[in-house]
Amino acid sequence: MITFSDKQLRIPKMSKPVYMVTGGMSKFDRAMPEKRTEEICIDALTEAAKFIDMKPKELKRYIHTCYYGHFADHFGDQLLGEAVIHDRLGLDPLGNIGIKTGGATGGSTLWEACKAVASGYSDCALAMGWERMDEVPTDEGNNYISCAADKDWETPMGHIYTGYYAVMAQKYWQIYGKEEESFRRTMAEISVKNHYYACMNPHAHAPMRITVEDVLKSPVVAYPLRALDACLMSVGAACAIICDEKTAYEMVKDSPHRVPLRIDVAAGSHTLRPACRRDMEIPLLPNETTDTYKDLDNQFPGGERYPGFTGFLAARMAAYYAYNMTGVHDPTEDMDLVELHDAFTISDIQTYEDIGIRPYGQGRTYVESGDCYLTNPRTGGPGKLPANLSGGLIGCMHAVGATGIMQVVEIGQHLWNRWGEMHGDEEKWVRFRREKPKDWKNLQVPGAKRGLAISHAGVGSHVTCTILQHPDHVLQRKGE
Amino acid sequence: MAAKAKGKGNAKKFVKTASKHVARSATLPSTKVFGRKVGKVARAVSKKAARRIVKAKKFIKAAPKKAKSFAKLKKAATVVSRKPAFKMVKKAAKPIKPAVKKASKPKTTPKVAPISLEEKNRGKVRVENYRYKFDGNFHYPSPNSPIYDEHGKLMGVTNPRDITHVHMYGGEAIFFESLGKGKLIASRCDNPDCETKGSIYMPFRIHCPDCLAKNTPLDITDLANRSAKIYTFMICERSGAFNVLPKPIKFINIEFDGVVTILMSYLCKGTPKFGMRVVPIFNTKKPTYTILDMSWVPEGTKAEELPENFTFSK
Repeated sequence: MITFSDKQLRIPKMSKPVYMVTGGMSKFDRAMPEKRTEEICIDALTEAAKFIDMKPKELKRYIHTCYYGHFADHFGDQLLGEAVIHDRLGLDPLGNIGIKTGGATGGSTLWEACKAVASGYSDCALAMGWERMDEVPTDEGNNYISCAADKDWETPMGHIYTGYYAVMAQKYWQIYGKEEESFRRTMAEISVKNHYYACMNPHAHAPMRITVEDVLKSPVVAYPLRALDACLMSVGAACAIICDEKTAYEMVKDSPHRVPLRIDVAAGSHTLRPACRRDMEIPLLPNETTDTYKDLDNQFPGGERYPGFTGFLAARMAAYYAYNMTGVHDPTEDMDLVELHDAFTISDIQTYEDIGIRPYGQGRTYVESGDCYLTNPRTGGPGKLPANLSGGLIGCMHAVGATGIMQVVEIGQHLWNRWGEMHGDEEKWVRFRREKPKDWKNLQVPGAKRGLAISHAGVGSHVTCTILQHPDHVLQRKGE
Repeated sequence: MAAKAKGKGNAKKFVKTASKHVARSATLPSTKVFGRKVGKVARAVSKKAARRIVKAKKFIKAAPKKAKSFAKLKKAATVVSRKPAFKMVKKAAKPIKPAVKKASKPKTTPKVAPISLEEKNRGKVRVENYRYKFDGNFHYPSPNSPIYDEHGKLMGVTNPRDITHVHMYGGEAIFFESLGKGKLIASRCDNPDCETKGSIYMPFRIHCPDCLAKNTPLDITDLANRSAKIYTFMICERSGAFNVLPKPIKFINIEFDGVVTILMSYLCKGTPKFGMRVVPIFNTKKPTYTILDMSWVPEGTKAEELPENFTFSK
């Protein structure tokens, strides 16, 4: 569709407020030959239980239905892998369902769990995501991923998803980046930032202290994208416990953080084949007006077509629904931190615009202003809206089904003011066989009350927007 | 007692199957399929099969004692025997690939290159009265092998396989068939009640994405020759496994006058640029009936510069 009815643009409203009580993560790595997938999932659930001072068996007693995010059956070579995990977690005979929406699988899993609670079907739901991407060599892994493009029309072309993605990156690079060296360095800066933040995260797959030059000298994958511009291919699991208000407060009453977090999730979609994108008007977010884009064509010649190959309509629609659902007017003002789907440095910049952190065409300024850092390197003061303190997909992990859940668990730990505790724990660094840096730094965002996560599939076919809020600082929805 | 006898009989049958397999695989040439040396794989399989024959012969001797472990051996036998994937295979005796016939009579048609056993037996399908008719082998099982760590501790196993899918084009078949005839077929919504009536879709869409009425196939070959230009592009240095295109792959997205979408394809000559005029070329001489039968070259490219089997539109 290129025009939308009022019914389609209706702002979603949950029947009751939904909360996240706890969450947990496994270690993330390129390969985990020592573990079966169920062991990784049990690691995540055990951490979630421990986080609220429960034993796994006590936590399990609350769970009523289960939502499993597992993108690629062929990667793990197990159809109905969800049933295997469900059994190994010892959660039979509870109802459960598998969810797969490509790279957005983690976010979509939370979406489903939240709706189950909001509807009243369950008081407490488990959202668990994982991926096992180490069963095949990287080139066959790329072949498998390319099967998430149209098998008749796109996959035969190189069997390389990066290529289908890169045509969009190239368009953005030319139109909005104007092929400027300064823009290329801004892209590289995102990789430097995210790999550095990953150094403080014991879960992270790719902690690295690199420079912009290192990124610019790394091998070309698809020009201008280089190896260090791209996300990881990881193994790992993450989970969250989603509850109604009564159950949520009951579960956390004896936990260190004592309050659950309000969670709202919304989703959008767009054509799996970018080729099928038709021209349309830009749907506006609450912090935009028709004037925002009246001069866009003059500023950026060649960018007349929307979303063309420069924006992600699915991300824009997910933000449209989520912001209006929760009363977010301006994400930079209303949020304290974000976790974005940095599949590639350039798509990270594109997303800043899709979700209204910056207007279309201005995404680079979010990085160049230093707003995206915990400590703004330009001013030395706090960054306005720190992004991907976990390390993101570039530095922490991309174990597809787990990614969207990992992001939300990370934000939760900030809002509960427990990020330092969960990432500084010496025992965890030893258990994960990783060396804690001597200059380890607590990346806790001081006083964080609200955060946002974007979970994004492939070429923008599915995107979810999750908003977490401390219950004492919940925004008011417009008109309420 | 009956169980013991059955165990021995089946084990003999297994040896026969495995021997047959060894004989067949030993004749396989080193055929390159999807960049992998199938012949090499087959020889590795045959070595494994030979080992299993020795094991099976020992088993026959010990059969009365080991009847209970028969199930285990039967499983192993399944790994090396090449049974057709579908039961219908014998019914479909009528060959559908003329080249196979030619290969079996080299004296009358000496110019045709011999076809490997592997290729000869690879699964083929035709449709009769809306039912599939299968011929040949649809899977090529390979034995697994153990994975150890540096201390000799078992960590897991490899699970190789070779499977042929049977995939239908449905309402898009006309598009893929036309490529081999040197034509580019789009589709158009002609539903008078549709708000986007008249929209032309390339990629071909069977139904209109707005009203879901069936679209009308539309030959846009001339339109493409006249107006196709590059909307965006990417030169990709890497590929995934099973890629058959030469690298680097020059991905291009193409705009046409009056078409509402932006086709993805690849440029096989020249260097892509924004707005560059390109024309379609088609694999008309040896079509694969896949999207790779279509490629693009800069406007002005000469016929003799085109890749093997490709021609301009017809």
